Amino acid sequence: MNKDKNQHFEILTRRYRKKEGRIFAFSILILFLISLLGFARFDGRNFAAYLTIAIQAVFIAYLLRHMAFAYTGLQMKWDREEFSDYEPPISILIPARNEEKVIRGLIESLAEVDYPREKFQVIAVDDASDDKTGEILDELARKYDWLIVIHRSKKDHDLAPGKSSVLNDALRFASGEIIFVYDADHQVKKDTIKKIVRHFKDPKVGMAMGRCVVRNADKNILTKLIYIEFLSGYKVNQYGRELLHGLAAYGGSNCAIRRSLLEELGGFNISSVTEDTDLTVRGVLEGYRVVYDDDAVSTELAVTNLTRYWKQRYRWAYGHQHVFYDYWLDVVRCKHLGILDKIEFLMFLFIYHMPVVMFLGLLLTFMWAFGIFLPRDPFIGLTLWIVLLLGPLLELAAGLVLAREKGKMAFYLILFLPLFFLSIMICTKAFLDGIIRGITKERYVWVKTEREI
Amino acid sequence: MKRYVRIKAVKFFVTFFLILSVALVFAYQINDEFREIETKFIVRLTRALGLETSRAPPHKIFAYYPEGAFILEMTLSCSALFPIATFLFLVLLTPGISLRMKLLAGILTCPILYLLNALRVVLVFYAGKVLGKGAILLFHDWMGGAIMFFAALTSYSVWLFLVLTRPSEIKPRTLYPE
Repeated sequence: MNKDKNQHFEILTRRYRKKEGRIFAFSILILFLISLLGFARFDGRNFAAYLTIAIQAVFIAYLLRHMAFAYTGLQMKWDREEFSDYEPPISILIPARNEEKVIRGLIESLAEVDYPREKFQVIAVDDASDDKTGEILDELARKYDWLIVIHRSKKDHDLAPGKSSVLNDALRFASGEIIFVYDADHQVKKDTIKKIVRHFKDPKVGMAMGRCVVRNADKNILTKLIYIEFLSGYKVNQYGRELLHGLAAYGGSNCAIRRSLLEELGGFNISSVTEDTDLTVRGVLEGYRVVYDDDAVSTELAVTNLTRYWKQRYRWAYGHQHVFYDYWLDVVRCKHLGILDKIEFLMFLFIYHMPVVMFLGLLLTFMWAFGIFLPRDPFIGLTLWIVLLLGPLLELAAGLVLAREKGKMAFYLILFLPLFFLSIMICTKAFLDGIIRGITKERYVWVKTEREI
Repeated sequence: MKRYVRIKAVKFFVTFFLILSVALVFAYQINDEFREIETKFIVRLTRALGLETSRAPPHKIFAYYPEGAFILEMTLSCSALFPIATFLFLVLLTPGISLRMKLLAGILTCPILYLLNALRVVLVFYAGKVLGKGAILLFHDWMGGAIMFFAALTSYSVWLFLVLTRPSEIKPRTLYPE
């Protein structure tokens, strides 16, 4: 039975299986370009200077991107159509593993949602939890007739681990035309579902994404920083991408996808640890739009310590980097996207490589500091530092202004500096691990984010 | 729909690059003079504070210690131009804020950053006097640059704090036609 299931998933995702070879092709290409640059002058000092200039060019490109989003977010208001009468049947999928602390909150918030009950189905999957998640879900299923609970066995979990496998399992029971996904720590507002659903009236829309807000921001400094990061990530980055390119990203929670598209794509990709980004790319490549709605809000919990932060961000970085290797060539060849959209989409997919480029930039800066090489123009080193950090800071500040946050939140911006350096370490490690795993063929397994209220 | 937003964005970027180009040319032109003025100012300040220093035009400062002299060159990374440029860059490029707040920030903060940087260089000479010449190398360029970068960011945070506590200074967004 389990063997069949695995084969089924393999077939489902056969078109979009990871192309491990591309990471090497990509790395070799970069190495080749760098070597070419160096050998062109046969001079170590020139080589380092040209490399610095190349890195700066990448930073400047991203700085412009950050600025474009900050400008769009702060200057342009999108007057969206109010609620439409479009109310198709929907299915909400909830993957849950050891979520006893939060699962009740999500289901209770869904019970308050403003949507016709006869068109509303919630499928919660207890993924072999070791805690009381399953019992809580069973209890809630007795209370709410729209809630279906699936219990995965330990064997199922071990054979097909990860969120994608769980969602594919749940999908087989779903009857809705629109498939929503919520992580267990989320809590929705009364009108969130309706606001997301309205976009599917347009047949070109394949996926829609709402805004996620951190609700435990007051817990500690880290959660406050993540709160600001989310503000900027959604209100500036997603919003800007939507307005400038019509290319928002499907984020894995508080989002929905058209069922017909999901079936056409073969379900959630089980070989990806960032199934959301993977799905975004596949949807866009098929010619569908991904819409972002700033008003469709759900709240979620931020990780509360650096160890959990590291684990979560490592998975995001690893998965996102691999989505880039899997699809960059498809994006370049895509016929549905214009040149500007292709550039933006490639930059979006490359984003978790930027800290790796920053690492290289820091390395050059230290080389300069210790006199290993001295650039001909001191401006080279200085602007590297400026451009490296100011773009993201500008976007974070724009998020605070847009949300009309309290003044004291501005001082937390300074604390992002150490967080940037942590991100550099996380993403560089994920990048190097990716290369090592590519050689050893070892598979990275989904790491569950632990919750703390 | 994308077209409307893109045209607006392109207009913004063209304006931005024109202003930036003019600003860069201006900064490049005044770079030498600015650092010379800074060098003179710092030498006067250190003498007033009882340190034995002298200036070697245009950008060098000699500091005299019992174990010998130390020459400090006022490079770009030592100059206040770096933190001032960082601060102005962030303030001017934060969209949606009234011009009044941006001009106020420039007028009030740039002199403060200039003085802070001068004080930082003076403290470097003091560090040399107390801890020996080796300390100058440590504090003068890299650590000093990092401190001033931090000062520029702190100034930006203070400015942002003032903006956030005065919502009337935040411009309303233009309605985007569907």
